[in-house]
Amino acid sequence: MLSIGLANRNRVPAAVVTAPRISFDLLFEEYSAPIYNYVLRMVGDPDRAADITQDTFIKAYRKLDSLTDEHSTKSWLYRIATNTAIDDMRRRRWISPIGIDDEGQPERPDTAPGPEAQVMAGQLDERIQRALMQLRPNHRQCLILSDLEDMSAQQIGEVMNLSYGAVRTLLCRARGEMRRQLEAEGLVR
Amino acid sequence: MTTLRPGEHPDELISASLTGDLSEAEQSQLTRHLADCAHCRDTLAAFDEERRLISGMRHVPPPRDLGARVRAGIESGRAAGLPWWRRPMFLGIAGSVATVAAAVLAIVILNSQPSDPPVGQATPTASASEPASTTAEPSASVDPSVEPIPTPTVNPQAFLRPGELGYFSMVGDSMETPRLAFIKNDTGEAVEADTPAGPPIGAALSPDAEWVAYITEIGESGANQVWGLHLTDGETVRLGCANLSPFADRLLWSGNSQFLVFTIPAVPAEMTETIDCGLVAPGPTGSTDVWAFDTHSGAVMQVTDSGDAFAADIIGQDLEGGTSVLVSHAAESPWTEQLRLPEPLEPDAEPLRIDGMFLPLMSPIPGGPAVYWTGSMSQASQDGRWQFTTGGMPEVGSLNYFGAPDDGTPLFADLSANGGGGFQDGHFGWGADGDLITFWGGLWIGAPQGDDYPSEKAVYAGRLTDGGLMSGSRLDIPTDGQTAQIISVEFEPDGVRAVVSVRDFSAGVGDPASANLYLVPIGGGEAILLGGGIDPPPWDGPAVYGQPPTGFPF
Repeated sequence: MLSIGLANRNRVPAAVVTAPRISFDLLFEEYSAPIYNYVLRMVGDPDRAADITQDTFIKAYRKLDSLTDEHSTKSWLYRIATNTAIDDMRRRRWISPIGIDDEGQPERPDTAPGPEAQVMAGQLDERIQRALMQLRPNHRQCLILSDLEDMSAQQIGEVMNLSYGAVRTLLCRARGEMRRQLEAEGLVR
Repeated sequence: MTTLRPGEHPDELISASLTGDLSEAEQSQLTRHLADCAHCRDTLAAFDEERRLISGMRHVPPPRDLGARVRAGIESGRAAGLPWWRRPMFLGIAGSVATVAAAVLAIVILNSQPSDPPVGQATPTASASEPASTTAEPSASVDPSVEPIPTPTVNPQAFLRPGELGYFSMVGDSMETPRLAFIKNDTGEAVEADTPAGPPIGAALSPDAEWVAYITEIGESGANQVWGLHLTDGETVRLGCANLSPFADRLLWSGNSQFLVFTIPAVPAEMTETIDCGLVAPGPTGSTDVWAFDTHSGAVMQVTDSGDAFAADIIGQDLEGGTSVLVSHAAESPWTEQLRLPEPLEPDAEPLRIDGMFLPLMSPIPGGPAVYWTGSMSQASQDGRWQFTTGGMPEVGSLNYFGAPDDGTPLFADLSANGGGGFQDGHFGWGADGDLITFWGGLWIGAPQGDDYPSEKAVYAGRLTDGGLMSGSRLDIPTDGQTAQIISVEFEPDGVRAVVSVRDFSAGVGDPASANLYLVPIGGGEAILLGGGIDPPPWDGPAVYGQPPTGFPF
């Protein structure tokens, strides 16, 4: 589960970005919905997900000039979102323990009409979300990045600051744990 | 590519196959295995189904006003989920002082050492500037909409409650098959760790008592291994291999338990070929750097790359929620700098620097002094280890970011380096009251000072208010001094006794290593033997105490 990260105090100085607001607008347009959904699956609560997404983009705006490689934009942004979400979860754990009661049954915005199929899909989502919320945060995180965000082990490693091998190991443990939780929910045998 | 042993099920390969993260050779290996293994075909089907379920979760559109909220946040300089320590009361403090002073002040205000009183109460300690008591009091100008500051509570997940004693012990049916366990002294409840290649010789409990970091020896190789044990689920994490080196044994937890900061002296590559160390630090023998383990993400990060750096102490949280770390650099004239985790706020800014001070360890009382080394260092010619060669003396004084410490007083009232000699190395520790202090394991290379004084085999403990340490401060430990080695010293929270782990070298060559754990009264009296592992010969220790909650609800 470990990796060797970079020495953070000797990072390359921030490059000059000439039009941060324009770049930021594009960034927000492309990533606000994916980041919101990623965070929503991490914390299981739409209001908290909105707050965390908001904070993520505010931080991204302030740090935009430290983004020197546009090819790493996605992992950079997901990393900010991840850290912001983890900070939020860590803080809240001392106020009210993370558990099914307060996080496992999120009230989602009513964004779709209510045919029976949609209702059933929503119920399925809730059970999967409940299973996800039983995982340790880093297990939940890598599973969402892999299976919902369709990231490769390499990309997940960039987000989580883990080596390729560490991500494979972590993902395997997370899948094993998720399998047990889905069994408990009666979703797999 | 790994070779599968008979009966082994390659879950990791199955998992990686779902995302195309296999090499051709691994894919071929897995395909062959699946053809013959129904168990793994079931695993593949289950993993595949689980991936299908997650990937099929509904896409939820974000709130329509998200863009407006972000824009408003950027323009106002505020974020939505502002943690309480960044709310107006604290921002007002930060804005009222100059930059450097603010950084230092913030650290003092937010120092998260175990004995912090709940934020909002005056601290019992007076200091020159008294920043903690002055600034932590409720302000009349506080925005009434600000949420009340939460009262610190004990982590319900904690394996050790505040004041409870826990220790490592080798357990098992016999010394042929020992296992390592972390044991709660009161109940005997144990959490087992992965079996190491040698006994444990250092430990530190995270403030939330969910993790214990520890160091084990790697056989008789002269190298050590650094680990983390997650006490709530028994998961063991290999954090790295470390060459044996003075001053490299501090395991430092951030106040919020997110970061463990530690020192890794590089080991010869061949040493790690038979040991799964996790991290193997780059660099020649003698090269030493500071690393950090992020318990949130599981990542291990290299903090320094200078090759001469040692983790000294963690001195608190800053106003942005970062962790401030003191890192010392070994040199003829050693120095210490203050760094920030997870990253610097201003990457181009020069870190705060203290010249002439090595490995400071802060008092647990906010605003209290540090105990630190002064003297000249050099690298041993045979193995590159850093040690003091001239004037190596521990002192107590305040951090001075603008020059050499100028108010330091010798820790030992009756020792003098006399222009040379001094200690080569040694260890410090504080009691919870910031007055009780200990020194042990120091090799004296100066002129003889008296009969067996100072002794590398002894533990010295005393109070600063009594004048510091002296020859009479030696604790009475019931072990043959010639064959003993002090492994660790911790004070009871009330400062009445010290719990001391002592290695016994009296066993013959090739016999199992042995260590005893004693509760030793500070002011004299009979020591009590603790322990509950394999006997004989036992290995009990090091020990740690559960800590009171900090003032930080995160």
